[in-house]
Amino acid sequence: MTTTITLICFGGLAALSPEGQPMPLELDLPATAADLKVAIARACDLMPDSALAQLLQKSAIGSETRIYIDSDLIPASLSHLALLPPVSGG
Amino acid sequence: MPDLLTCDRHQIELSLAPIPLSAAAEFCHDDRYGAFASFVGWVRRVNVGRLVTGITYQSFQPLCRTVLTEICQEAEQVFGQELRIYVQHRLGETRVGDPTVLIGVGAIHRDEACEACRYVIEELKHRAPIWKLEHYEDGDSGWVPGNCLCQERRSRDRRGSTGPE
Repeated sequence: MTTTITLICFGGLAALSPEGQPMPLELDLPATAADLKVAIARACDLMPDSALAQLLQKSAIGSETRIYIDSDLIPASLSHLALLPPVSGG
Repeated sequence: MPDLLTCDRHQIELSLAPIPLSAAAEFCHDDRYGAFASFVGWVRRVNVGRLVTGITYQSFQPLCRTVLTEICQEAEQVFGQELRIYVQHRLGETRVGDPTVLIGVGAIHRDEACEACRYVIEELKHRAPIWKLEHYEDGDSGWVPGNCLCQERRSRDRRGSTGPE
């Protein structure tokens, strides 16, 4: 089963979505957060050693209510997700 | 969605407007309490040897409110249900000297006020989905490296740990 997810990119990964627009992405389910990051890298043609690819590797996936770490399954019911690079609040 | 999340025991605010430093003490005041502890973070002039002119803050606000609420609830579980906790974080553009984060905790005794305040700021720095774009005097800007959320869930066992900043 394939679903379309809309991604919002934050911090240094905002460079993945031109003009800050949400980014649509096709994703094969079931998928973990790590699988989703692989799909993003493929869709954006990221070179494995590039700064953006390395930042993507260090990023988590978020919904409005929780954070998905690499091993977490992304629920099929979610259509809007956020890409969360390392955080630096405070 | 409103930028203010409040209940009887804690108030969380993400704001584009300047932070009024008196807000935490006002929210946390209670005749039952004998102690109030607070933390204020400011934009500093020099970071890693570079002259800073300001910081632009960005947040995934719905999740940020959820995470900050969880942190306040954890602080209550660890340090006592009688706490009152105030958290405000600035978003958008700030300049050197501007307050960027304000934490306040009211409690019956000073120990739980101080420890809960430290817990909330440390957990906020490690877990809240907030990012800072630092602006430098030479015209350059850069996203500040931070804490990775993707590999493990931070637990209450780590309370009291300190970061580099």
